[in-house]
Amino acid sequence: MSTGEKDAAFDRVYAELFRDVFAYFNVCFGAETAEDLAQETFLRVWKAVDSSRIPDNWRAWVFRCAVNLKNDFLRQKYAGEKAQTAAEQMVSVQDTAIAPDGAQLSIQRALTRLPAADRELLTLKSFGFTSEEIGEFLKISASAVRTRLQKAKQSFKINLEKEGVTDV
Amino acid sequence: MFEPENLLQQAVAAFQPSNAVFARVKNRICKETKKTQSSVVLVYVNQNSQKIFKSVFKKYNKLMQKIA
Repeated sequence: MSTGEKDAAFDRVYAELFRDVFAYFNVCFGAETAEDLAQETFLRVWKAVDSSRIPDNWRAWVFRCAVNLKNDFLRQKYAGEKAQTAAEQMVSVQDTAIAPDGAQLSIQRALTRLPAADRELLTLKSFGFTSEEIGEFLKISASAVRTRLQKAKQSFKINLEKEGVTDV
Repeated sequence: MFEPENLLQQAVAAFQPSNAVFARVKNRICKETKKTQSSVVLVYVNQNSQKIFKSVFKKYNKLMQKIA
């Protein structure tokens, strides 16, 4: 593969997936950390393109990589602390594409007030991944994903109601 | 009853980056990858240089054994 072809392949993957990868990290940790982790994810994409290890399913490959980076980040940053507790911190919604109005802000709050694990699951689900794929990323069974998703959706719905959002 | 699926899509969409972030990270990746590319050193090894390398490594190994 020539340098021009590599650049073009990378540009395609970046244009298609960067926004979702950033949103995933932003939901988990806030904008500042999201920028760093999204950058690291796409540096790995570049290396994969560079070495011609081009996977069949880029989308799943990139998100598997992103979930692994998230786990590494939690292990390094909060070594000794309970990782889950550390990830529970409220996320920032700065530097995102949409300037939130009142209703939009309520919907965002309904998501950010969920436990980190629920936020992560719902975000991956919203990107269209199946329970099997999410299970593979998180190294849990598909049935466990389905059970947790159901609970997370229920909690999200309760939060929406608390925020006064009762209609689409 | 209302279906929260659409609202979930909306909520997650709000966490997407601005165009400025999209471009900034891309630039940083480009700089980083160019740096990596320029640090690649091509070493041409012919028979003579192979002999030199072998003798250097022999001396290095002996030295390390003495230290150990």
